[in-house]
Amino acid sequence: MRLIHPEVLFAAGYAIFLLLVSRVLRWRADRIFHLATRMKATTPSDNTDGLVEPSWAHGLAARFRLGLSGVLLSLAGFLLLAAGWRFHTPAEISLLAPIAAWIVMRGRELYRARSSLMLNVKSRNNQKNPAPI
Amino acid sequence: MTVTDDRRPLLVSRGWPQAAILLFLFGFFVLGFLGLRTYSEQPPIPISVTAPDGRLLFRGTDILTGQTIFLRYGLMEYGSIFGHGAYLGPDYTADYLRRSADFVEQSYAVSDPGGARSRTARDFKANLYDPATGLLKLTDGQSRAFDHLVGYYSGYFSDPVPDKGLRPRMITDPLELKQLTAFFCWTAWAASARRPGHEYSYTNNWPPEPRVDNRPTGSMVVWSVLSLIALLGGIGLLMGAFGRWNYLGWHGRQNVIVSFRRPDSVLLTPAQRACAWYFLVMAALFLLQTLLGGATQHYRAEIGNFFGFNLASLLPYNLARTWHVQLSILWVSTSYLAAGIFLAPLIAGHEPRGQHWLAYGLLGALVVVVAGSMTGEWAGITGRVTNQWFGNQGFEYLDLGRFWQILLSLGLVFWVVLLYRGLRHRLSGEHFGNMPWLFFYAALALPVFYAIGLLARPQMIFTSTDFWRFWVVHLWVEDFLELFTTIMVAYIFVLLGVVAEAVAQRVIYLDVLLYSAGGVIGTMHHVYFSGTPVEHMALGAFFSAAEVIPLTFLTLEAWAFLQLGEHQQKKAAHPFPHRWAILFLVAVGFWNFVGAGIFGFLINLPIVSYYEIGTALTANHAHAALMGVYGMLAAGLAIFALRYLIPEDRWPERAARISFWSLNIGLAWMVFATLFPLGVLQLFHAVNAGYFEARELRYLTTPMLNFIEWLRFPGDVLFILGGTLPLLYMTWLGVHYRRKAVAETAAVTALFTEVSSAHQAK
Repeated sequence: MRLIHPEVLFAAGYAIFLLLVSRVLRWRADRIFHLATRMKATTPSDNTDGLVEPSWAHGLAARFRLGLSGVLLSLAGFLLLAAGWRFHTPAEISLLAPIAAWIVMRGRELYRARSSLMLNVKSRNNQKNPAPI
Repeated sequence: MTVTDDRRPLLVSRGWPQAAILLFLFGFFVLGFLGLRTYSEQPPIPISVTAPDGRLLFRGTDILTGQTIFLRYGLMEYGSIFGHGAYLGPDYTADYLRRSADFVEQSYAVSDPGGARSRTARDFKANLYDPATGLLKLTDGQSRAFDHLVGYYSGYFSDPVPDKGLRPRMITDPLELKQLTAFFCWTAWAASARRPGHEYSYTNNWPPEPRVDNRPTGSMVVWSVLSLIALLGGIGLLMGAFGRWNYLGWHGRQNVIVSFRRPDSVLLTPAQRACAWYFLVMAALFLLQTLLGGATQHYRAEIGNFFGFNLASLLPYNLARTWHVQLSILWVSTSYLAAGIFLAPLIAGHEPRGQHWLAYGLLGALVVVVAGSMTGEWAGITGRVTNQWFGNQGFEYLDLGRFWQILLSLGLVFWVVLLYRGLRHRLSGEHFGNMPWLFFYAALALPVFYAIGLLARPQMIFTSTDFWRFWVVHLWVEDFLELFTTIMVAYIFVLLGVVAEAVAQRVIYLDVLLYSAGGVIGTMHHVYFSGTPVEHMALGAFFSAAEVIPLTFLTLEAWAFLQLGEHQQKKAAHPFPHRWAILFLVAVGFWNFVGAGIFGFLINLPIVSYYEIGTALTANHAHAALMGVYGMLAAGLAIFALRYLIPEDRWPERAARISFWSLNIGLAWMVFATLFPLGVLQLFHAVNAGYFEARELRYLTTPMLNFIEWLRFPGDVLFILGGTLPLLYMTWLGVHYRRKAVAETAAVTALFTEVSSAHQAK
């Protein structure tokens, strides 16, 4: 008899893959947002109004990636839950639990990143553009 | 290229159109050559096929009739031939090959257990076709296997139990069943018998089948490696060029500050108002398409049961998938047609009288074609109509009857005439290489390349029909629709005043250059194993790898577009009205890279495609690319136009938000929860256990795969309910509350006003 069912191995492996893709998306979102901020701050400004802030387009693109990152993270969590529900010997749980903990940590980070981005975008909107994003 | 003096001169260097024309001609010259080679090197249809004792097994006409039966009953939307078709049923080439090889091996094993396997492989590898007489001899074992398999497939297709997703007693006529088996037998022969003068079969040894010694060829491995090198080298060159040359003129050259007009203040023409109906039809077709997609998907999760209901007797899998696939093209095209009609007066600056009546006429014709072709497909698949003109032609993506196919082509021609009518005055004042002409050429390419699909006829040899079919599936969809959409998006940015016309024009030329270099010849990556000679694989692999380069490039360039848009918007007096349309473009950029680029390349290498073709990884690419790119763009174009059609106080901001996020989350879920992992597992199984095994229903319904199929459910529900329904609601608002039109000949207002140049503002 196998110690860990192949489906659990697959779920764990695929959840890690999703976590990594989610991290890449999160990194892209950060990069898009902060790169835009830095570009605004350092570009010699002949036609900007002096405010150092990322563009609305970059804000949208960053949010899009954060959103998808969250979807993948949720999917990874969902997979682990389903796998744990179907197969839950001590060995299987000890494989799934650390990955689940990792997902929760990433989820919290992602939530904070999203809140920070929203705050940034909203603050700019209040100054520049009354329409909601 | 000569131009009269009163025309506006070319806005870019002459080198751009010259290079584009040259590369375009080069691409089609090579494709034409490959077309000739397809006809000369395709597996022959023998006049007759006999057993060693001279007994007639079947004639060549039976093979071709069997092919029409296969197509007419919609079996290409259930299983596949040479790996092309649907993925619920088996690949009938691989299926026949395995079953006949097993039969032959068992018959040899009675007298020679040790040598049965090698004798079987020798039988299948031997090419006993005589080109002089047109006769094909099968060995004794193969002949008896044919008789045996006529019985097997007769039972399979006349089965009264609806446990396969097919209509019970689908085919019962003994002659039809024999002809259908003859067609399968011929494809299996082409897949195993050596191509004259070579050590591999007509299909480059596809499918992988150790029983008949079908293994990957040297060309397959070499061209896979070379195409990887082409990709890496191309990306390197691209990055170098991108960093080194600020050639397109994105950065810092757009020094005009504009103020966007409020959508309410932009006057609409009658034809633009007619577009509201187009978008309503589009959204209704989209909803129907997704519901049918849900039904086809459910077959994979619960094949004999739809939540306790026997769906197969009412809506068999092959009918649901036929409609699902056809509607995917039709709803997207409806949006593009409407977007073209909507943009024409903005480009021309006015609208000719009566244009809207022509637009309504075209929409009416489109509805007739959609309803007529869907009815014909139902009648064909259920055996009510047997002719290919009004019934089911049956090629995947070209399922509609030929009458409807011709009518649709004529409709597209009529649409081009309509656009020409609207643009005529503007065109007469423009250089032939400027944007209005590019817009017109791209529109003209749509009917031309769609009509080429008419060259695929059910009575032709499958190899050449597949060659022409992919002119539509790949060239028309992936290249010319892509070109038309690039031009439309570029024009929208120009019309909004956020990108200079010359800059947009360079991007369009670059698009033509890159797609002519990669996409045109890259079409051949679809026909590696359809019976074409090896050069199709070599060139298809090499150039289709290069297709990823423009995708990467255009994704990078899209960023520059957005930066420019932002730059202007910040100075605008009014809020930017196209937030959601832009977000859909952001999504298009993302899915273009992931769906078309990564997932496309994943299955493009010949050595991967050899094991992968016809598995969920193909569906993964298809969904992420077709919905992710063309679908999102179609929705974005609709929302762009609806912003002007719906009065400001009725604009459903919330519906736009819900639709956008639901479509994208639903698609991401669909791809990452099911299609991608399922495809990877299936690929692994195909390499490890065998291609036949990876396509078996027995494997697809194992508990683990079944669980993965069910995983899609929440994403699909979100996609349909949260994505398509709000879009339908928005388009209904567009019809119900659409703003009043101005007189037909009145000057059309621009979408922005120029405030000042940058240095003045400062």
